[in-house]
Amino acid sequence: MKTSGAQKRTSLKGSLKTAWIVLGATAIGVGLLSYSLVSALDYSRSLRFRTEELKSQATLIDRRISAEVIGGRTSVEKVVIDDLMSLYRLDSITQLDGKVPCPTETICTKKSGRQISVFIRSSETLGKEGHLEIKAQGPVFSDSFNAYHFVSLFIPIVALFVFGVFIQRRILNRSLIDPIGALVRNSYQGEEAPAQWPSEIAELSEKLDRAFRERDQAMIGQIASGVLHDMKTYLHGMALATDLVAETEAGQSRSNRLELLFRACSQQIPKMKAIIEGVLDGSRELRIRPEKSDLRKILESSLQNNADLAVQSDVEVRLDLPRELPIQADAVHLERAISNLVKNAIEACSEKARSGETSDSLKRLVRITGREASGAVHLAIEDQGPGLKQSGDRIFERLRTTKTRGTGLGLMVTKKIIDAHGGSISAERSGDLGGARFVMSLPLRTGG
Amino acid sequence: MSAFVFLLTLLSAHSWALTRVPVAFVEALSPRDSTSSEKFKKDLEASIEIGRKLTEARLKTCGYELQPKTAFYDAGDALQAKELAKTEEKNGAWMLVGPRRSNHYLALVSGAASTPTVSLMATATEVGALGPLHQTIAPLNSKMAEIAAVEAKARTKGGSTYLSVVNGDCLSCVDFASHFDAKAKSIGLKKLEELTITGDVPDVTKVLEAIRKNPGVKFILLPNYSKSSIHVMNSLDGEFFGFYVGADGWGDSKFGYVQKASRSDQINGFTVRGFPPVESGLKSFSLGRAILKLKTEEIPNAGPSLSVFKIFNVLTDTLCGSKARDSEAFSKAFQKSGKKFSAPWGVSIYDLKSGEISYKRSIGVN
Repeated sequence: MKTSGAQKRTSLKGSLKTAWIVLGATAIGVGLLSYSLVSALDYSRSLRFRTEELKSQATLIDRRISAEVIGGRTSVEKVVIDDLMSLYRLDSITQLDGKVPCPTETICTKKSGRQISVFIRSSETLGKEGHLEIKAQGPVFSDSFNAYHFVSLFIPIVALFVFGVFIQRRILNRSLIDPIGALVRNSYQGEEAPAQWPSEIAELSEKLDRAFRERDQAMIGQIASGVLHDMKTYLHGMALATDLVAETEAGQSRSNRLELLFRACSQQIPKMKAIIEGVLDGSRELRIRPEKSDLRKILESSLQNNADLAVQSDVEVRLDLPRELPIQADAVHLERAISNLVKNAIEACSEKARSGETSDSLKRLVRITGREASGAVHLAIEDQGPGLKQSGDRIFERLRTTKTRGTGLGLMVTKKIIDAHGGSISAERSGDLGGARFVMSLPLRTGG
Repeated sequence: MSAFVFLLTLLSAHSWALTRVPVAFVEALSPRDSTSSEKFKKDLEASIEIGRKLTEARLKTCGYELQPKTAFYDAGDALQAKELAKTEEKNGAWMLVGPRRSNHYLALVSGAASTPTVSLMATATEVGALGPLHQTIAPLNSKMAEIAAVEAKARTKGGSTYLSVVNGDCLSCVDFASHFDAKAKSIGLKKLEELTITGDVPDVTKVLEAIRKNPGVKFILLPNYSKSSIHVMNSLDGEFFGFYVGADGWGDSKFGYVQKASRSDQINGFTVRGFPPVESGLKSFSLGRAILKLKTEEIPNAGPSLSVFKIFNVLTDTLCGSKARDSEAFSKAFQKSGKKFSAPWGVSIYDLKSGEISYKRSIGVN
């Protein structure tokens, strides 16, 4: 499911692959263009060469024919013409007395299709001034687009490209891409950089290791600070209760005072326990025990856990669910995850109210909707809070909290629990309520 | 001392009085046959030098000094003969000599129509029609072809058929063949087929077909230049068992491919030429006899050389006889005595036996 506002990043390998595809397409295009250009130039050169060749042959032919005529013949013998045509690969030799394309020039050429005509003025032909027209075939255009040009131009370009890909895979992958990938995966595990990594990347790896270790230490410190703060609050509550019991008040029997104390303890201790469990869950691998459960019941229980908070925050929690939502789940963990989301939603509405962005007269709304579709249950928890400050999946990362209180592990643990159940969770902006919208999917229980 | 000075002055004055006679020898060389061309060029230049030296004294007494020069061009471009002729005529040549081939000679004449010219070997009928200012040492094709036809008839025993294989791009060859056919017909020889080939290495497919179609044919008329002729002969080896009849284009033992490139002992026939062997040819004129007194190795031994010596002989006679002091006067004298250049040795028959050319006999034509 897409997370709105999330930036799609391409991996280094993906970028390189795209680059190589573009380069490959360019290489093929350049190769084809070069092949076409060189072939066209070759044809042009061949045509020019053949034309010049014919012009010089025309001069020799004219001299030969003139010599024949001078030699006493009244017309040039056909055998001489045939001999000349065979010798110079001509189509025809014709003596013209009429119109020629270039009456003022000694020699000129004309091209018609593949045939080249050379007109040469001859003063010796048949004793009067006339012209010889010599026709011959020019080069074939398609002959220039030959295998030799293809091989010599196109294949080296493609070969260069293929060689580049090979070099990239052998050298670049080994010295840059793979180390960066490993760095991203492993650097915070404190392993020493392999020997074949370039020095810059090895140094970067060490710096990242150090940074991650310092961050971990800071995180632990922050968690500890949060935990201690909350525990201090609950302990203070328990202390007050204890003090209250210790003071003697008129009209209060000892049993009433003990009852008050026990009630306070029974309320505060689970909360302390939850905090401690939350910290532990955040730091260790989650183990769930899925059983036949009804998500609706788990939801109702979560709402119950947050009922006091909702009343205090003047937030309405509205439920819109089918009667039953059978799932296979660890009800305790799932309840904790959903409770966390509901609690966050209520607190977000409360935060917005405190900021003066909404009118005090209107109750804030947290809406929970659920439906079945495609073999899964899709549950959405929306609020009228200020909305998400982090984008997409980052909100589920450790310490991602904007609350002044809390460990910053809540959403991370929630996601862990949902993931452990084979489901998914995402966060986005609620279109109609304006706040945050958390959407989770859990597989439906099939069978009995 | 004074006598010496007087003699010296006399001699100098005499030198100044010598009329310089520029004569240009224009010939074709083949870049594609450089070895043969180089040999021919050396022989020609040697012949010119011998001719000049041996006529120098006599010409001096007549008041002349011959200034021969050579001008060579590409045999593949006959028009260059015309261009060179124009240039030499412009440079004041009194006479032009060459080239050997008929169509080249006709091109030369067209470039220097008013300058006397003599060809060493041109034989085409058109050459005979050029007029008294233009001569050729060799007999014309009409005469040579007649003699060839008669000789061929004499050699055909029990048959009289022949094939004619002629280079269509050779003016003289076509001319010879036409005269041969005319004479052959009149003496009872029958031409079965006439085939036209072109180039120095012609396609002989049609010739082979004709041979196979006419297995009894007695001889093949092959009046072409030597390279083309020997290609045909070698190609027909094993297919044709008659004899060949050639014109003077076959060359001789020194120049020409028929003897040099022959690959078989079965190649037989005869050819007709305008020259006897050099030694016997030289005996027929005064300069020639003087040349015979030289060491044998100094004498170029080929037909064209014989022509060169003869030209020097006649030229010297013409100059000394006419006393012409300018080219115009010489031209007039040439027109009167020009016939002295032509066919001094008649027509010689040479045998082609087992691929070798050897002299048989000569027949007078005048």
